[in-house]
Amino acid sequence: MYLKNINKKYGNIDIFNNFNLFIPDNKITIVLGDSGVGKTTLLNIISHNTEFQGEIVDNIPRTFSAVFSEQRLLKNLTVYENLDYILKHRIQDKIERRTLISKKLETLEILDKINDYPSTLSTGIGQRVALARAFLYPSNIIIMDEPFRGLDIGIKARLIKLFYNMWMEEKQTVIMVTHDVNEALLMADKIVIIGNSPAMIKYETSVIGAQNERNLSEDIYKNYYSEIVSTFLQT
Amino acid sequence: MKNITSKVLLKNILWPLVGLGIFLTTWYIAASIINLEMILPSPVESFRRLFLLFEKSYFWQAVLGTLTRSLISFCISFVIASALSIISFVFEPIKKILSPLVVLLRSVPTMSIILISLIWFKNAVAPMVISAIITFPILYSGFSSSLQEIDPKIVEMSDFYRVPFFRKLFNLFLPYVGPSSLTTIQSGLSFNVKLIIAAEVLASTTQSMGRYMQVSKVYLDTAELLGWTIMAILLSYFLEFVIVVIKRMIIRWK
Amino acid sequence: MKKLVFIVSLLLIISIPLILLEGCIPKEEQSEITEINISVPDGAPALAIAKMLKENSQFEGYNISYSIITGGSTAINAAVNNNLVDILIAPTNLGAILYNRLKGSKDIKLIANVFNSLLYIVGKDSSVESLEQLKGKIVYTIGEGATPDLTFQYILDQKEIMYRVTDDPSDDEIGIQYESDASVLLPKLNSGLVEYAILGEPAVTKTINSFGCYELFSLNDLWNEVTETTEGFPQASFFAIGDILQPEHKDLLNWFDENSMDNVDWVNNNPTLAQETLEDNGWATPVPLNTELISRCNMEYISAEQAKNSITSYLSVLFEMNPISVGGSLPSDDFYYQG
Repeated sequence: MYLKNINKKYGNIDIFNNFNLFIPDNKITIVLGDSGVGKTTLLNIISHNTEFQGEIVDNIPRTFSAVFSEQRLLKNLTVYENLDYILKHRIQDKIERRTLISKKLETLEILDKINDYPSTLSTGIGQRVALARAFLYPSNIIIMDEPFRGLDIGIKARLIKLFYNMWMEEKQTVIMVTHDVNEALLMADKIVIIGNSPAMIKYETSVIGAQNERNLSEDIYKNYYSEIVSTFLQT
Repeated sequence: MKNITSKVLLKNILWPLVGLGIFLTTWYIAASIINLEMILPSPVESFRRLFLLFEKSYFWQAVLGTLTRSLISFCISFVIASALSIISFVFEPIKKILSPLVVLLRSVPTMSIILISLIWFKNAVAPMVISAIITFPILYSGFSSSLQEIDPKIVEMSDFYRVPFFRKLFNLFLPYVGPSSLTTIQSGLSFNVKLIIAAEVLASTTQSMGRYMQVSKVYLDTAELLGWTIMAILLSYFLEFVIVVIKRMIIRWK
Repeated sequence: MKKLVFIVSLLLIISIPLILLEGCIPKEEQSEITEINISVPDGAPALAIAKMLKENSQFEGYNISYSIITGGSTAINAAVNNNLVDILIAPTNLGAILYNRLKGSKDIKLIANVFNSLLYIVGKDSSVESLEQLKGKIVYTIGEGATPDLTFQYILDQKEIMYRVTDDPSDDEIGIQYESDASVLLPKLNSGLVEYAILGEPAVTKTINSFGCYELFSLNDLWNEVTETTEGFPQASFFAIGDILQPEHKDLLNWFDENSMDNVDWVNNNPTLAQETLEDNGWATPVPLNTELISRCNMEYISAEQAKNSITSYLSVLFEMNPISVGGSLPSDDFYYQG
């Protein structure tokens, strides 16, 4: 997917001015940047939830899934019902749905919570349900807006691992936005840093280690880490 | 475990009963002091009249009549109020159009509505019209603020996943506005009953509690009047109780 | 144990102020009453004191105030309960009800009958000549349980005409419906929403003049028909309440007796003057007074002794229909003032 010459204004402020970005299919692209620079707006533009000037050139029609920084689960529905809620209108067969949901929950190791209510779940578990939701919904691009924000490092690591387990199955196109350099380095096939106002790309790279194993070697990690940090320090 | 439950039960029943007891005792003492049944009958006499009324078929017909009228007018008010509040929630211009009208309805003195309706409508219908008109703004405001409380983030998520309207309605909107709406309904309903009875008194509606209250006033039969009043209170309690039960059934996820 | 103590002390705390209050309730006044109030309900009854209002008739040793009470029976009851009135015109049966209800607390006696029935049935269909023709129709009256309602039902009973309180009568019965107030009934009569209604003067004349209605029946005539009498029924009377019935005020009551009889003549001879006076004093029923209208009000002052028989039979009739309409039991002889 190509974003071409994107212009976006909020009142008098230019958020994006002639912004260009290439998002490769079936890869995980991660956008890093400070707060307020326009990361969420970028996601909104990609998902057609906001108006903009410019072009998005795409090779396939897109259906979107999303993971938000909050769980956004309906408190009156169980985990199963929450997932059913967004699935029912896409997959008519109840048995098929049930199988799919069970499988996904199993992959995420929370099958035992299938009939629990969101208020009883811890944040980490709740976010797993949100992940399941995004992957269950038949989409060809997953948008993630700081999905691991505020989580303990242990829980986060677990979640990222489980995320991969699911992603490996179909390798959907993913575009994710975050603050956290570590997340980017662990997860990305491509890293983009945007900054300034209006936002521009300040750093763009493919992460080789990630492509192969999702397990960066020390060297590559340190290499990219210092490059990224210095980019931030220049802001 | 058993110990805790019985203690809680005791707290929930004993203290309210004490409150009730204090009220009845005060009534009894006041009535004995005044010592004139026309002014303030004793609670004993009032309850005795009530029990005598229980045996009369016209009593139950009247109670049924009042209850039916209450429920019908409330339902009409409810349907219109919920439909309009949902529509205003979704369409901003409608909300702006309705806003001054609702304020108008809320500010018109109750008596004016009653007196005008009595002239325009038949005795059987007037109380229901009056009640529906006066209850409507209360319900509308209540429902509107319940709707405001829905988390927009969840709505955003639902829209993202293209959840169809009716699924959103039944799984998202209704359950979220449910509990606070029920509270609105609870107060609206008992207010409704009071209003219906007041209108019935003035309209002398056949088969109504208000009519018999009016007659007992004409005959200066205050004990009888209080007997009917106690029944009106019981009716109100009963309706509130039903709503509370419904509320409990719905909030199973809290 | 602690809780029990708490509850008991709570009850005591509540009762103490009430017991103290008892001491504050005014006892019977021993001092001489010089302030007297004579009140009449709004409408035709106000005619009964028109002359006294005009001349502000006073009697030595007393300060008499006259009032016209608007607000229907509620206001009258309130005035009685608050000891605001000493002499009062009220429906005869209401006097009996008060007699029964106030027993032991206050005295009330009937001093004179002042109005026979001034009730008439009106409608827009002038072809109606007998009550039977009203079958299948609805007759509206003001106030369930009030005099028009009771007497009308009695008349129908005697004539063996079926009736029912309903807004959908079958063809064999007359339907009865109630309105709370003339102000609600009259517009409906005008618009045709109500076909037939029992009204009192002067409202009757108003409907005839302004709404195109006709007087179809006089309740007095109907009553005379079924009871085979000629007097009609004693609709409203003068009552004296409370301390004014004490022997020391006997002279005042005599004076009142004479004055009232003069009043009847005076009103009959000076209708315009009477109207002016009443309007100046807050009369709220603006229909021009003339001799004819006044005669239709059937005002006639008959002191208690002479009226006793007709009133007793009237009250008995009501008692038979519904004992509560006279307060549960027929008043005994001390209900009637012995001048």
